[in-house]
Amino acid sequence: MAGSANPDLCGGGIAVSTPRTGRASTAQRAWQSTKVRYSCLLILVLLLLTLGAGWLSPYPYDEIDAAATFGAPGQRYLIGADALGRDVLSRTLHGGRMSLVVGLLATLVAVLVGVPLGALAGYVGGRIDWLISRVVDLLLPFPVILLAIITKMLLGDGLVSVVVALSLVLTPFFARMARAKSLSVAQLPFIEAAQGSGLGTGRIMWLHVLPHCFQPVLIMATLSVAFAILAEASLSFLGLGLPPPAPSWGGDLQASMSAFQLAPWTVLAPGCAITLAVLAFNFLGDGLRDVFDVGERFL
Amino acid sequence: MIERWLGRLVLVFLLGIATSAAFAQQARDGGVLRVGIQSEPRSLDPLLVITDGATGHVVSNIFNTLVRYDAKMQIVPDLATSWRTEDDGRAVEFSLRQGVKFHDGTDFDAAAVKFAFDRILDPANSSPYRTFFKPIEQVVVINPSTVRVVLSQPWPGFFYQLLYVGGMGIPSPTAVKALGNAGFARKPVGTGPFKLADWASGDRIVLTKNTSYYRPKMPYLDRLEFKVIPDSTALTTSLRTGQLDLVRDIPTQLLPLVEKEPGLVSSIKNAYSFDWFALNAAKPPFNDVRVRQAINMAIDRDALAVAVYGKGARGSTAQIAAANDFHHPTKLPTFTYDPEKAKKMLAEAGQSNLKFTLVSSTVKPQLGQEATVIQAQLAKIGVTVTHQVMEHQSWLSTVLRNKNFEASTVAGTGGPEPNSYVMFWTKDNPVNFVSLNNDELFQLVPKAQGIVNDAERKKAYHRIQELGAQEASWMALMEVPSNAVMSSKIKSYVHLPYNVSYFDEVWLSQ
Amino acid sequence: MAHHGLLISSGLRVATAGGTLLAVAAIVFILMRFVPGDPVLNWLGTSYEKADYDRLRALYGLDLPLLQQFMIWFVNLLQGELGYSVLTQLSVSEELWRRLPATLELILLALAVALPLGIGSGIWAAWRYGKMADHAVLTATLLGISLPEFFVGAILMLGLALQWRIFPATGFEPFAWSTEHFSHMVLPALALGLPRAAVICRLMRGSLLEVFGRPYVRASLAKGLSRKMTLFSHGIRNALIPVVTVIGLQVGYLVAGAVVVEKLFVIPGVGAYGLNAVTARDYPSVQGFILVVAAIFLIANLIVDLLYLWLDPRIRTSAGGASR
Repeated sequence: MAGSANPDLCGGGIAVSTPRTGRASTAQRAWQSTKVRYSCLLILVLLLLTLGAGWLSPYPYDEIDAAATFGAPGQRYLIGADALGRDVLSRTLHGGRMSLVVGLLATLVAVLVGVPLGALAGYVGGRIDWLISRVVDLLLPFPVILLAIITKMLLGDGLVSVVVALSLVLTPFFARMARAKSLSVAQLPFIEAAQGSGLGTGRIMWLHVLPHCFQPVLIMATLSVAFAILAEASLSFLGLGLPPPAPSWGGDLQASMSAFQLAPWTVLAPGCAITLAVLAFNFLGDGLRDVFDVGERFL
Repeated sequence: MIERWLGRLVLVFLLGIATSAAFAQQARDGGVLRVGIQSEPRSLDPLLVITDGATGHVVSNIFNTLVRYDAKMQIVPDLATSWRTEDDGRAVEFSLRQGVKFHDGTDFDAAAVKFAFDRILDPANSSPYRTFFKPIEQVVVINPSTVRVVLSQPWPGFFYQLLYVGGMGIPSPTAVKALGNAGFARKPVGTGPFKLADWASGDRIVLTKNTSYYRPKMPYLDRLEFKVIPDSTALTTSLRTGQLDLVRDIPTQLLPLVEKEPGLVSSIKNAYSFDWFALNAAKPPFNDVRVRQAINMAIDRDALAVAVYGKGARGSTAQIAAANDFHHPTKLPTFTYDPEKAKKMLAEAGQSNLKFTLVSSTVKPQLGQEATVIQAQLAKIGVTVTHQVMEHQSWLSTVLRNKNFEASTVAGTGGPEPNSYVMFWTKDNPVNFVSLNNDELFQLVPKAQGIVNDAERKKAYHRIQELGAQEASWMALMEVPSNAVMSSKIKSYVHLPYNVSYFDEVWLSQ
Repeated sequence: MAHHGLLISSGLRVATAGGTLLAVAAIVFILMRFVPGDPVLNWLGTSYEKADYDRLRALYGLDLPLLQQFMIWFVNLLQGELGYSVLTQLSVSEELWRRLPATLELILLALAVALPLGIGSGIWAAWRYGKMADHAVLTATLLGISLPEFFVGAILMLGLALQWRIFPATGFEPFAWSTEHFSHMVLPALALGLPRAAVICRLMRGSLLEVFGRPYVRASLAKGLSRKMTLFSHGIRNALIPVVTVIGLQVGYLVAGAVVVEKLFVIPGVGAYGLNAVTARDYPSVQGFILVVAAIFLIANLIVDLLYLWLDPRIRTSAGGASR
């Protein structure tokens, strides 16, 4: 129904709740959108290229060839060499593997932790709700840089520290969204009926509450991956990501910037790779949002 | 007839005056010179300062030394106007310049010189220069303008040590006593052409003209600004867009970019500087000399040099640079690339699967690149290296002061005086942070300083280099060419292949 | 009556913000104590002088029970005493205070770029819903939210500063109402603000469409221009509310982005300070940095919350009253 928006006051998320049908038809409807189709294709290609970096890279990413420094594309390497004569293509592919793994992992953690917590808070209410909401409110506006600094100091350099930092940033969003959904579902009459028939909290949540979260969670997840990839690139740019010589899009861009006019491919390759990957997931999110007709605002 | 010749003579004379006037450019007063430095100095006190790429250029303008280099690298008077060696070289008497004042208005005199020497020699001050000034027995004030330095043995290299503003920059005794060492480090007072106006940590150091500088009309510049820009991208970009006027030692690979820039001039010199590889002999497994030797033999120094400094760069073959007369004539064994032998030696020492952390400081990006290349080269013989980049000030505390490291790439400076390459290889030297320990070496290094006979001196330094190569703890990697890139407006800047810049003669044209 | 309620609600918000800052301070304190190893040893390394070690332990009261340590630290904090940087020995609070204006100015300038651009283009896209202009804006903003700040900054620097010498590439001149000062801030403000503009544009557009419901807009398109204009001017007011709320969150991203931009353009602000401190493991400085950043975004969120409170009459009275 037009105009029936219920503003969610916890930060401006706007949820329009309309009953949905089963998963299979959801997927069918999603696939009808061209945006969704193209973006899925792009993501598939990206995943293949990056996760398969180990097999697809023509050269080892850390092989230094002093004679080939800043070699132009086509000389020895397909898209040129960096300051130490390493293959830019291989480094970009491997860097992508790290970025995508980090992005997907962080989102997965955020979904698995945030959604149940948020749904529980919304459904059960009371003190649990209060506690979870306070924690969420605390973490929500925290800039990712701060969290990355803290985790880096506690957990040292490495993949775990970066993933943890990103998960901490993303989880509150999922929790808040799940809570809002859960609240709106909890008021519906058939929930009372289910409670009356003796079903436990857990089963009710699993059977009735969580499915309502599915579509918004999906959309949010795609946008999460986009955000995580972007954040990881920024952290690597600042030197807060994985230590050298691990290839990373952000780190490689930073190291190559001064030589831009000598060897623009060293800056353009990682930069465009980041943009493309993030774009693909954002595009998918856009497409899904159009299809599901849900107006979620969570940035 | 005579009138015609007279006429021509007058004409030639007039022409001569006109052309010489045109060629003799008048130094212009005024202007601000902005220098880019890649890390922030930790202290501006000559007592502690190691003239790295950041600190040296700043400190050399706040302080004077007794003698200094001129443009042709000849030793000329600075605060000392003349000197006399006596007693077979066991004493030097300096006549000091009159009427020189420190920035705080107090007078420069023999007492100040004595104060400077005593300060370095006092163990309580923990100066890294203390042990290599060991030949000094005492410093005597004869009268306010004469000071006598008494040595325990003749010391041919003495004047080279006096040149170094690190150590021998003369501070104001009044200021040191008033501020204490910690305070003086951030508020230095000297006799130099510029005095410290502002030190905005992390941003810039501003020096302003010392109007009572002893050289007439100098300095020409009103102000020197040293901008701290840790990132080499930003450094080179700032230079090219005119936000900086001078940068020393930019990455060699970026030289083609700045050479193309119309308003910039670059100068490249073979330097005495070198980058070297430190292995902490106090930390297992590097306490086993075989391991240290093996690691060094697994490094292909020539390939490393080319990778980091471009074509034409060559790896070191001995500790003392090839430009120096005392360079060892043969390629010493541990400087030779022999990965098979290295592998065998590691196996013999039981360290076939060696893992260690290699640290590099951010003071020069090349140090990080060298570490990356070494990491790759060592991987080929099965050694796993973790590369850790450390911010320079952190490196100074952790590695240099506290010796808390396993291996590191380090930037080093030498000079025409051979001792400058090995001067820290003495007993209980605080700068010997690799814990190099060899009795023959400890005895020979101070001794070699005092050998007057050239041939014997050469022999001594050759032996020192052989011992150093054997110890394999402090090992030169390659010689580093020095470059200076500056705006074409800068005149009279002398590019010394050291981390020192004298800006008193420099002026800016329109 | 409503006024009274407003004061109470505002007071509550301020108290919550204060409480959160306290919580952050406590968390930071606890975390610092959990960093692996003896914190003083982390700073000094293994070959240290005992005198230094003892002095630092005493200074931070590390031998006392944890609660007492926290009290000391907290009391110091309230007095603005944040300790001394291990590297430079300078006072952390003084250093941060000195650098704060540059970072705040950067953030404000970025907002000055992002808000008008974002809100304006968002309104325009909604006005032209479904038409070419709308699609163009959508595509542009899709790209805008996918570009990392440092890439935007790098392209701006390499293009506008290096290639065509329009703006200075790096550096910062102390504040003054002069071209010299502002010319150094143009590129950084753009690098920070443009990606935010893209986000705000999408938000504004979506929010505006949300308020009407899309079929409604299509219908009013047919009804004529003046009707459309009245609808829009009403709609914008309501649509701004969620956008304003979200701006508070955006400040968090702006602060994170400021660290990147400060590094790229060599601006001596709080972000650059924090970054150096982290790389150098200078824990007192890192602590101070985290607190200052937390304070910035908490205050920004507070301001936004209060604005939201005063803008939307429905929220003021606790039962959602009549909509306008």
